[in-house]
Amino acid sequence: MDHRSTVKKSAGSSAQTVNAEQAIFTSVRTPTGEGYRIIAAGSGLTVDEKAEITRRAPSHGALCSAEPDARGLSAYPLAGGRYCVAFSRYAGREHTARGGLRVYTRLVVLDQHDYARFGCHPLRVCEALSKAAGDEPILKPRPTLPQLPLPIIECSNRTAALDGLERDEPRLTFASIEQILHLSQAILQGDRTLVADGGEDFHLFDKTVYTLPLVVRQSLALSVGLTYSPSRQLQLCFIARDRGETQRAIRGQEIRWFDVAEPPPRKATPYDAWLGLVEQRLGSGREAEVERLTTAMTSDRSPEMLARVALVCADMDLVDGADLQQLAGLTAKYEAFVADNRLETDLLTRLKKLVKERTVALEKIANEETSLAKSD
Amino acid sequence: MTTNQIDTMSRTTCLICETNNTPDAVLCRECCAPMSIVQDAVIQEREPKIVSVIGESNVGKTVYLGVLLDMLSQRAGDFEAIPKGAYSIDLQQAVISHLAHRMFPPKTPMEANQWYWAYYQARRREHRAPWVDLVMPDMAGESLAAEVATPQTFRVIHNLLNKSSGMLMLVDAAMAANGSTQPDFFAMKMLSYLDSMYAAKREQRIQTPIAILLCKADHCPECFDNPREFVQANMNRLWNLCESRFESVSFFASSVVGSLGYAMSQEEDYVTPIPLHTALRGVLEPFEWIIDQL
Repeated sequence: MDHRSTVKKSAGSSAQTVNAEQAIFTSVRTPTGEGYRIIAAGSGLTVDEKAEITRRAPSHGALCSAEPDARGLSAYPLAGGRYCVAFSRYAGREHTARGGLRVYTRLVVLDQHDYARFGCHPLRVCEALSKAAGDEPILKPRPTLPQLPLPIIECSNRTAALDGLERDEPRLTFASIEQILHLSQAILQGDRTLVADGGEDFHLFDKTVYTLPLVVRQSLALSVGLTYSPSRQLQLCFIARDRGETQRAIRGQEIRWFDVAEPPPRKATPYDAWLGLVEQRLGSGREAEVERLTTAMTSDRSPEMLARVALVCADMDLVDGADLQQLAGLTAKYEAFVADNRLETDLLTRLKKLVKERTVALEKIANEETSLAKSD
Repeated sequence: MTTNQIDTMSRTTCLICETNNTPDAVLCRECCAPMSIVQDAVIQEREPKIVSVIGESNVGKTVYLGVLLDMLSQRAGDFEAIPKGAYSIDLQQAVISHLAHRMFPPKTPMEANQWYWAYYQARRREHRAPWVDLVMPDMAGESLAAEVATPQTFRVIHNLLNKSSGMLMLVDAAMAANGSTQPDFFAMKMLSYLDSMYAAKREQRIQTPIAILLCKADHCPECFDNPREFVQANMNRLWNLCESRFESVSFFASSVVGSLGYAMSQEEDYVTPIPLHTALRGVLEPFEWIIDQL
């Protein structure tokens, strides 16, 4: 179930890197024009992909914070089937000097298979981008960029890629778990959601992404640290606190407004069994387990499947404290259980193994006690 | 689109892209145009006319439009103009406030939900002319350039230009006078885009009136004497295309800033242009011409 097991060697790349098309979108003055545009791109990007990137890229004033070290990230599937991850920051003053800083966006475009090698998590791609290309903005690049070899990073501290942000992952609080569950539920239900006052909360963004099945992540359009714009066509958008302008602007657009400071009560949904497991795991510091489970969910994301996974995982927790009678009950319960996918098969195998090991151990103790009683 | 359509189709159908929106929508969910324009248009029971201000990034669209609207609201040239809704005043307020503080207004973002839109009723007072409802968006030059380079990148721009009754196209006269071919090429691309969009048959010339403004003309005052001659001499490609394909084109020289200062930072490597004072010249004339053509 380790998510590393999903990593496969792709033709033309080593096991530990993937080659990605890259582009730079920013505002510069050149002999052929000025203003925000793609100033350099890989030859493998199609005209349609470049047009879509231009439409969705952040331009002047699009970072939530005006601080020089502000960061932003957007990630979205392109219409042609590939996936784009764009990392934005400031790169000095905007060249026309009409106020504000220049937004500089470095982006990579990956095949779906290659994106899966990063667990379909944009922060992991960003970290790889940072390692492969460095953090310094390039304002005078060559017009054609080569493919960028991105290292596959197993580091769990994904936000470390975002220089200037807190590097230590804080332990999740009850409030932050509630926020994660809300957002996870919204995305699983297919709701477009604006997260107010979450513009710089890369940790909440990170954890929320990891509670979503990989099959959901791979087609999810999301951003953090950027202002809201309908042209970016996002499903999950973390924005800064505003004075009501954004909330007013999305009126009538079927977008859920979620204020991290005042989360509304969660409503009952078919995903409750799964979310209950996530809540329990996050609350007991077992985030890595949630990450492994969701990363193994590569095809099915139905509430029924998620409920079955939650049930098996919850029963696994019972094994350690179960007596022989309870173990027999568990064995009987899963006698007729039919696994629908690889994850369920793996979980079931693991459960049966645990039950068997526990049964053997308890029987051994019982036999020893019987022998001891007889010898007495 | 007719007034009748506004009444009968739906009161929440966007004027620009004709997408149906819910009654409580503030912005069109497709093109981000303010839905208050639709509501205002319904109240007026007149078909609003879209006049688009186009041109490349940093040519001065925002400053020109802001100053023009301010002049109209001050009854310059015997025009009477009434803004419909506070949103229509935001642009002129931003431009005038910045210029008053000797600053240029901030860059217009590419994100359409950040654009200024103005809805004005205007008429000439002296002729008791009928009121004309004008919708004038302030589009980002980069978005225009991207749409021209790859049509349908920004559908809002395609829809806006397609529905425009007239256009004010700004070109940088100062750059052209300095020998740069960039203004000529951009204007040519823009007109070529319009030609492709409007022309059903090649033998038909485009009827939509287009006023071509030679902006920043204070840098090359000779273009005030004869703008046509200036374009013919310095932007010959544009001139030829206009002559071949466009029926109704007129040329104007325009200037807003009287004199510029330049400030340098000791710490950083950039120069900030400072508009020391405004000296408006040739701002209203292109608009008057467009109104006469509508």
